[in-house]
Amino acid sequence: MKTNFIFRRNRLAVCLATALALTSCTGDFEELNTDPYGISDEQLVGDFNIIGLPFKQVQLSLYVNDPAWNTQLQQNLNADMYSGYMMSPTPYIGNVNNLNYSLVSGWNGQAWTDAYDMVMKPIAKIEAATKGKYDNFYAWSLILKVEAMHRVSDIYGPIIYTQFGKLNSDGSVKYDSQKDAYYAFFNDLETAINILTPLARTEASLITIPFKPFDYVYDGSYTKWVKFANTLRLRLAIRIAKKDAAKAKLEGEKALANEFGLLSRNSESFIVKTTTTHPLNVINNSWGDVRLGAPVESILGGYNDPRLKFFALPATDAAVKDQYKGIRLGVDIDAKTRYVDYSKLVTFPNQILLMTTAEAWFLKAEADLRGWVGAGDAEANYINGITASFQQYEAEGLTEYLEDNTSTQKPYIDPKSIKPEGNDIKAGSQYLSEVTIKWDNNADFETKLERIITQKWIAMYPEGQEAWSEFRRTGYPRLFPVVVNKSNGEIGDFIKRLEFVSNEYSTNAAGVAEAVTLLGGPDTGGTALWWDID
Amino acid sequence: MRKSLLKLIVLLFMSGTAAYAQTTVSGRVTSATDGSGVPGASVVVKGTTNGTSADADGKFSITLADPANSVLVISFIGFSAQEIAVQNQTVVNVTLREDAQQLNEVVVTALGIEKETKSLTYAVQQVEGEQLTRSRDLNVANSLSGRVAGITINRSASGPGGSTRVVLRGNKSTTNNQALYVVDGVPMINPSVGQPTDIWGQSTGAGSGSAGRDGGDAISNINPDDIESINVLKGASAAALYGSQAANGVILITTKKGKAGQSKIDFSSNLTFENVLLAPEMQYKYGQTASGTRDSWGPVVNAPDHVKKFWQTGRTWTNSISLSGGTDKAQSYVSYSNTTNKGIVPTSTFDRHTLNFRETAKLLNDKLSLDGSVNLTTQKSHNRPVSGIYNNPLTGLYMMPRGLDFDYYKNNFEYYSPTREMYLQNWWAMDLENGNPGLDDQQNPYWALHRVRRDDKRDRVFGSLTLKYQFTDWLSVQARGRFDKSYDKYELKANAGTQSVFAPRNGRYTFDEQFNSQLYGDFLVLINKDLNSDLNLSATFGTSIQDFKQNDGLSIDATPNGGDGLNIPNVFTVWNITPSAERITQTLDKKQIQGVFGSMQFGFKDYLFLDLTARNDWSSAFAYTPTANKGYFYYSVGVNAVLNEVLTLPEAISFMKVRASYAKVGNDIPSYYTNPRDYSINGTRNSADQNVIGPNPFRVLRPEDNRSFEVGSEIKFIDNRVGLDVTYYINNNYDQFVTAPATSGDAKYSTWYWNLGNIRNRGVEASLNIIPVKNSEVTWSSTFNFAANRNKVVKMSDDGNGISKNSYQPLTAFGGNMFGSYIHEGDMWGDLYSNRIIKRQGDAIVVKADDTGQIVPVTDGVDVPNAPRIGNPQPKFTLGWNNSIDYKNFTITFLIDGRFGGKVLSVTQAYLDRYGYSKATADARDNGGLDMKAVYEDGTPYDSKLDAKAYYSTIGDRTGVGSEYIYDATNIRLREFSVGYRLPIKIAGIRNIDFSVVGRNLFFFEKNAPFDPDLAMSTNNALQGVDVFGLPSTRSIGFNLKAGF
Repeated sequence: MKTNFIFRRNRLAVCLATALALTSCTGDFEELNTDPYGISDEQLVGDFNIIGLPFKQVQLSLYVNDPAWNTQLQQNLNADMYSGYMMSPTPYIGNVNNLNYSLVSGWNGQAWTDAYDMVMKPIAKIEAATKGKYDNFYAWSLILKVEAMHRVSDIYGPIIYTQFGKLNSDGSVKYDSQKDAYYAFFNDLETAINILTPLARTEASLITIPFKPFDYVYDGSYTKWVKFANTLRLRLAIRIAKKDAAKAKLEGEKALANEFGLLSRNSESFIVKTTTTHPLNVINNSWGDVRLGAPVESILGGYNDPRLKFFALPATDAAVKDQYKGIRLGVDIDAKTRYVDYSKLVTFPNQILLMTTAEAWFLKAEADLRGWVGAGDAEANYINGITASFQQYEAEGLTEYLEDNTSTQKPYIDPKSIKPEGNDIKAGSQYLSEVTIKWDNNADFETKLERIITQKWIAMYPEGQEAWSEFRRTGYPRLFPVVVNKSNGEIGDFIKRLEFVSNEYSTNAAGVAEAVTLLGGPDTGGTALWWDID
Repeated sequence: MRKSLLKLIVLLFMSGTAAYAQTTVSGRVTSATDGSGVPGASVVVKGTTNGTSADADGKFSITLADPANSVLVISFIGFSAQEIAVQNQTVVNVTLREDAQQLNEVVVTALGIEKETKSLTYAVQQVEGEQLTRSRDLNVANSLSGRVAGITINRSASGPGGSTRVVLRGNKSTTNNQALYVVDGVPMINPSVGQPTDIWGQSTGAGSGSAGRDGGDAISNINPDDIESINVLKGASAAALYGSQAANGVILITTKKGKAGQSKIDFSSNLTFENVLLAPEMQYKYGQTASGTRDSWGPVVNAPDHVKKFWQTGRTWTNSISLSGGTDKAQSYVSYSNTTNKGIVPTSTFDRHTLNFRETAKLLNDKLSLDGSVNLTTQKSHNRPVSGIYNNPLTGLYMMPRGLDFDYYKNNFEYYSPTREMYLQNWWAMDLENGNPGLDDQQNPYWALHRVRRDDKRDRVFGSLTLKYQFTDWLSVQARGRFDKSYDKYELKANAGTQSVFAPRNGRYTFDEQFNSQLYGDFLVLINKDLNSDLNLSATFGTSIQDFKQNDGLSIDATPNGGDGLNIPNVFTVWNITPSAERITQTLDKKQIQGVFGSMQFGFKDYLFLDLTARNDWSSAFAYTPTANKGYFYYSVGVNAVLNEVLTLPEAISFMKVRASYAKVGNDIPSYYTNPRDYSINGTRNSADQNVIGPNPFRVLRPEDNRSFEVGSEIKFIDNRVGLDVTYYINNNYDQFVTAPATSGDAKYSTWYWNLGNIRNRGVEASLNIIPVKNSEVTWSSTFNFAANRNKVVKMSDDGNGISKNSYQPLTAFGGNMFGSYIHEGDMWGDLYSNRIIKRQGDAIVVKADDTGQIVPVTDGVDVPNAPRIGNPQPKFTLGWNNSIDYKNFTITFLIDGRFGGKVLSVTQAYLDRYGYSKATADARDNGGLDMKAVYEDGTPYDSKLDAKAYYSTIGDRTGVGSEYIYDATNIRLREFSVGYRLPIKIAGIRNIDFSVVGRNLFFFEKNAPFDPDLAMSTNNALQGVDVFGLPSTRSIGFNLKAGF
């Protein structure tokens, strides 16, 4: 210690002396100009950390687990609300914001930035370190990449995917159309599944499980990752079924044909296990920035759904005390106090649920509806889906529920509306569905589809991103249109997408200009995505 | 033994030349003005180093080798030097004339080199220490406002001892614009600890919901009583020798030292009282809209003004004592001061102690001089006022719905919770028993003060040692070292029951400590030689090294992320923080700068001067780039002519000089940017293994390139009764260091670094000294300081290098708020932009009926580039008028300080309007609405009054319409006023007793904004010209007692 001190002092003196001789003493500069508290690649070589750490980052950024404000911008103030699951009682920006379709560019770049900075960049690093060398890790990264990026594409449309990392000489990067992106997703999933399937066969005999130290989702199980990849493939195939039926069928049937099949037990749901508080709990409890959405009250309330109490708490506002009372999207809010005592969300466990097993069953139900080989029976799948969801919550009353052929979505009354009755959805409204719970094999295609999607919507709660995408694709369940539309005519009753991020306009002007042409409409929230046809 | 030997050698040597007997000559040096002795006057035998200093009475004696031919040179600062031939006299009395012309006034310039004022080729302005202590401010930098032309000072709105932003000649840089402080020739790091970075008051690195904070800067640690004088070197020319840090100008502080023959004790005591000068205008007439609502658009309640009762009279008491004295061989100076302050906000206190010791000595036949000093400071503050929306007692104070009983909430800021068996916060907006966490923009102010306790503490030590050896009368060498280390500790203890955005359920504990240190060393060769009878050369060559360790910090926080935060409620220790809430950050910025430099000044016949400086720096920040090894070179050149000695000028002109200089200064970049690490620890995720990919190394980063030119003139008229000093300057700062987001498609980097653009500042500075009255009874001297600066971002970028020419570099990004501040080509540095506009048709605002039928203004959210520019906080010009009137034993001084032009923005006002708390809203309601010209969207006129609530609810709040909350920043104030009286006593042992009444910030002659535009939320680049619930500006009045023994 002491010698070091003396050495340093002397070195200063020596430098002073040599500097006088018109030369400098810059030998220490590289060390001085190195942040002692950063980490370099070299330090991560041991224990595969150089591969493993990026994996951790990616898993925790699909839906950012912390800080909560990031999650709030990434998903909560858009998809979570547009899905009908939730609404904010906070009148952000003088109540002129995303929630009444006046899109806030300062918010809406978060999902994009999170995906590129915290998913795509680490995955590029993983790919460089693993492709052709540790193909199991490479395959795993492909699955995560698709899981992250299809969400981004479902928000914005065209994205940077196949051309990622390929900067043109002017610094710009090309976008893929949403179709090209989806085709690339299928390719990547196929590659991953082909690598992991044989490994999954041998899984029982493995002594060490390579993914295990870094896997926050499936504890290193190849089998479960294959099942998830199959289910994700089916999700994407179903998504494009209306737009590109042949490709959808091809990909969907491949997914259904894989020997490991889809997610089938609740222990297989895609849940990222974290140590930090679920961001929704912070936004809901600490900040009071999110409350239940009106459609949840209307649909689950109308169905007397036993799961409702696992979604939200009864309101504490005197006007609606002890009712499950949601807020409609885009309501006129003068002050936060108006709606803050409507139904809070429940406190969620500290786990990020991104795909439920129930969803797999509902995907299969729809696949059967569409006549895809290997999908099984729609009715059985539908019942399995609801059953899985009830089991997830350990909710009671499943049998009665499945048999209920009278309950329908109920009207929505907002007694605290600034404009009296201005927010109400009254009986007979076109926004209230007649569809009941009990499966009816004689119903027409659309009714069957609505039944499946409505139940899927319930089962996916609170994952607003997928729910919003499926609502846009199918129009189900029947959500309520935005009450006050402040988009200046750019967006209709239901928003279709978010605008490209403003930073891309300044750093990748050529790329984003082309992306707008790929989008096929103006860069507004009113332009429908490629798969969104009605 | 050795000494005798030395004497013998000297005697032997001298015997060869000294053919005559030695004689001792004695005498007394007196002042021509009043006949008093001139203590400390220097008496030197011309052409030798043989010399002495006069004692306290002005007496001296000196031994001469050659009394017949010796000539004594008697000199003292402020007097004209005299030469007297001894001619074998044994008593030589000398009367020195005060140097009325002050032409030979010496100022300290770069590297502590003293130069005659008249020889300078650039603008320097001096402020005497006495002026700084008269109406003192706890941060001495604030006392420069109005006293120096071209200085812009913005105090942090954090009360006594807070940081100060000092900018000379306009904002030049995208990164750092603050002037460099140099104490006794050595640069001083001046980190401002913990500045807020957003309108919530949160600071970088701190967790979300953190309290705004200002830990104070380094300059505020200097005791104003220790300052002899301050010289402000405004331009880069003056500063070239300090290296790149000086590109923004230099504040040169010369501290006091002991003087030979003068044993002095000075004592001063200063007690001032502060009250609110300018607080927001609010209404108390209209009550809460409805029970439980947060606004006051309700019926008339005529509530009492509870805000006025909240403020207390602040009190600052400063005591300072200094002892100095010495012989002609060694002099000592010791001072101690303490300050205790009680703020205008209850519970807020500030204490500071400084101890300063300085020793100067001459050794080895006066050839070796030594100058050493040690300075110790310790200070602590409790609940230092904060700005911003979060955790600020003023938000709850201002926005309590009218009609509620403030005294009740004052006396019952907590209640006993039966469910938790502890005291929790009691506030109208929250109901913790029923899970209602309340509002994130207000808490019970007394809870915020008593149960969210914040403590800042700083210990600092700095010391320096200078050794100078005079080889011959023209050659000396000097070595110097300085050590500066400060330790800051910050703790926040928020009890359970604090609003949940600011604290987890069981309370929050923040523990933050930071070291800042600097080692400095330099070595100089100093030459001052008459090359021939006309030409003098003064030159300095040297080398320096600076080693910095800044922000060497560790911060541990229990973040409010929804969990408990602390295992056991209200136990504030690190071990008690729960793992899921724990957030740890560790930082250290290292840097080393080495420099080699030289300067030469040629003086021709004492009226023509040529200055050349050159310097090459090597900064570790350029490691990994080509600049690392070659460093970066910069230089300055200046000329100066004293015209009255060359030309025949009109008789009225007693002195005139013209000067011009050009300088190019290279500036380095922040540490580590050429070598970003692959991963950084993600502290918010409470884990060492989750990282964000680092930014682009860009190993081609270059030094910033700052070029300035200035030309000026100094003229004195009418026997120097009128003096004018004018400077014009132009400064272009090229190749600025810019951080910009990368395109998303970059596979490795999320941020790119660039050297870009050019920011230009040009302007005029003038200072005018007048002595309007000067007779035997009254002397009135008066100084005007004027400065005007024009700033322009001439160029942002060349297109096609990844950052668009039209990009907006954020100083404060919109982030959903009503304003942002950006650097954009063609505009000014730091222009404010509005994030929302009111639609207008001609001069009428556009209105429409909203869903409820209410007529409201039509607004639209806009982002850059469409967001309108709404103003710039920088003044168009500043004018200070400083006066001192002496009449018999009385001295009256006053300083009127004006800033003209510029715009500032008040988020506070927007909040108060939005919720019906501002006086404006009450006036509008009294008026039955607002009289505004309005039309419907189709152009049909709207003839009625606009409803106050509908209007203010639309434009107010932090997310409101920024362009409606922009105000003219022009203000003129009585900055300082004092009346002093010197007791006419003649008692042995007492030099003087002065008593004065002093005032600071007394009142505004003119003011248009709802807050004091001098206040800034932060002293960094962000949040300039913006008030977000800042502490009101205060007026202080007090007494000063000074005694000299």
